[in-house]
Amino acid sequence: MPPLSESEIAARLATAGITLPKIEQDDLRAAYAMLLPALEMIRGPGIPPAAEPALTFAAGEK
Amino acid sequence: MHSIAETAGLIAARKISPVELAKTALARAEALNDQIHAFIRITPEPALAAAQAAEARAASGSLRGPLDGIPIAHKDIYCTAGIPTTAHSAQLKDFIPTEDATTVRMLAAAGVVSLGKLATHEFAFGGPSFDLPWPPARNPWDTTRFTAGSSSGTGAAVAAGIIMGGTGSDTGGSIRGPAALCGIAGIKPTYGLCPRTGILPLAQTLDHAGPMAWSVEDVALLLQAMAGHDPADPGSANRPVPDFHAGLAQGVRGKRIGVIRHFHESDNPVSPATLAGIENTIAVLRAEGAVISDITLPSLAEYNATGWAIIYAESFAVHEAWMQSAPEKYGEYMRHRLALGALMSAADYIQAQRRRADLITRSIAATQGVDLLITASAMGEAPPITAVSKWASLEKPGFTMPFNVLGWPALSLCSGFGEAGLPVSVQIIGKPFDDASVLAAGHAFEKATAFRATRPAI
Repeated sequence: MPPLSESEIAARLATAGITLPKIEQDDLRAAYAMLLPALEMIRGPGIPPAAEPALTFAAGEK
Repeated sequence: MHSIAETAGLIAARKISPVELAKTALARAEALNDQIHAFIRITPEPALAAAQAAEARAASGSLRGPLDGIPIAHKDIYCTAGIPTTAHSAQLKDFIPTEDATTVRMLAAAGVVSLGKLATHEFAFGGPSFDLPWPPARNPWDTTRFTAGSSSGTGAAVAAGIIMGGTGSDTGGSIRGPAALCGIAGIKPTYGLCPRTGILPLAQTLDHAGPMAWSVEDVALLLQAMAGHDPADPGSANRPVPDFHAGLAQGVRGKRIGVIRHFHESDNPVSPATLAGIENTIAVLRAEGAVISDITLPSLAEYNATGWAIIYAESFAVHEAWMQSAPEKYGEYMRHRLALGALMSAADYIQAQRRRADLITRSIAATQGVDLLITASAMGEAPPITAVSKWASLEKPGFTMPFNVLGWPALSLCSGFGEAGLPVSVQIIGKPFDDASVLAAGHAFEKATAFRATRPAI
């Protein structure tokens, strides 16, 4: 995953309905670049062959 | 200053008056707050009313237990009926809840005397910040230093000897961090042990409520009152609560303790004094009968990557509406940290939860042969409060996050003092719902050492 450009940061914030001054967007862009290695690191588990406990919830009686 | 356990005995023997105790604590809170900013709000009237009720129970021989008449205070994300609950934020400056948080009610039922509401990082996330309606708490050991966060006011007020204990919350280390830097004890209990109903959320799948106090014994007494099933909290566990205070007597004889050496020696190397404190803790617990070995878990970075991805995503979801309508009412640190969550994708969050499940499986497998774990809870002594980076959590992996990701009980306690004379700390971790063994190990260490005899000079 490459770092986000200025316009991509602005676009994602706009999609989220958030307005921030340009200087704050620049700071955020730098922070996102720091977060990226973490987001890449957690992309480990492959396509699961079955339902996974973390993403399964129970319906019905407790 | 007496401990909660000692004070309870003195109240029961009518040698200490809860009213006099509350008046002394309130006076100390007023006198010190300009220096350490631990309190957002001091509440003398309800405090004295509660103290008078405790005194009446003492007189009639109907005390409710060891917490009756004990002065504490609540982190200001714990809702308190009729008393403003601000989360240290302009967003909630005028919010007055109509109901107590479940744990506030449970502690009140045990007879505690709440002196007021304590400073926090904004919504337990944004801090230390100097652009909020109230200043950040300062460390009583040196008021130029950071308390850590987010239960900063609780750490400061307990260390300063204003209150005997208090409430905290811990999503990535917010109980254990302030406990570490303020030289006190604090436990993040097993996920589900303490109800979170009425506590303003940060990230629901990682949020834990828990107590902080000067000693591990006092933490055990407070935890007793805070633990229990709450049907209103979907994360609450419906299982019997053990007697944590009685459990302290079990010590560590025969306990198998795994040292997660790579966490604090190579994944994120700690200060020499912190390392010495960890080694001393290991030596003391070995002398008390524990069997020590080294163990290897997944890397600190992997737990932190998972935990922070979850926190950024969940916290943004909690605050989305206000981030859209009134972002300027947050402090800069809070606003920016929330905005980072807005940049993440749904897949980022889901991958984090998948990785969390994977980490839990691997961590269980790696710890099959041990009962308890030991590592650092902080890198070293408290840094200057003005030197704390907005993105510190992304710069180096913290020692506390793994146990939020796992949900396992984890205790931070003082293990000595560092080069600057400030406290250093150690973290003891247990298996799910074995909080009692964690507390017993911490208590064994405190009994065998003299670190609880030194308080800040403030």
